[in-house]
Amino acid sequence: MSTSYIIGFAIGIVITLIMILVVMKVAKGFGLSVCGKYDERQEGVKNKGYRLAFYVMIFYYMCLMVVSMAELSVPMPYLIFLGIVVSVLSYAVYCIIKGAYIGYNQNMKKVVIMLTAIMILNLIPAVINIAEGTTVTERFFNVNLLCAIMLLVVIIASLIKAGIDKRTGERN
Amino acid sequence: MKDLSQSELAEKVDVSRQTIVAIEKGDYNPTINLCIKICKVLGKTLDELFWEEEA
Repeated sequence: MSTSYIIGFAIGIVITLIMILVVMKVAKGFGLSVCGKYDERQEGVKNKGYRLAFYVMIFYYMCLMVVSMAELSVPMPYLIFLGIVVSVLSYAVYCIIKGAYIGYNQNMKKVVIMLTAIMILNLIPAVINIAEGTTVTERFFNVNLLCAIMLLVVIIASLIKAGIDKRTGERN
Repeated sequence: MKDLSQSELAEKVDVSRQTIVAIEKGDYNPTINLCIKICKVLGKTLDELFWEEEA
């Protein structure tokens, strides 16, 4: 492993930690509780969500194993990371549908705004990579693009759920 | 009984509105602790709120 790679990795971790602190500070300023509190039903749903995500990941990697044995020309690092994305997405969408993705002390609207901001931050390097033509190569893949797509799916699912909840709320 | 919306009741007993909806629909069985909290907020006994009258 080259020294520049290690330095880049370390700088990346430091920048990530700083970004987390900044986001937490900004979120607090907007009156958004970063640490969600979950009630007993939500905790149960989250447990089921974790289980679902685990089985989805196992199933995905079994499929990927078959693909790798077939020795097809596919971008493997990309597909390995995609497994994590699919697993996280299955958890997130399941919890959103069951109303357990955000805590009872959090506001869906503010969470969606924060997710949108993070998605845009991921889109910037993704667009740069696409412009440079380095989105998917044999040794390099664009993590940011996958993260942005993942966040977009979460945002869309949250908005649909919020719309459904609003309608049922009006009915009640 | 106190006139509360689902959201107001949810806020008072520290749960999400969806949880109150699920309890009302019978999709979720709350723990005894949550039942007691709801009873206290609504000023009702457990029997009055959760005991189903036989037809």
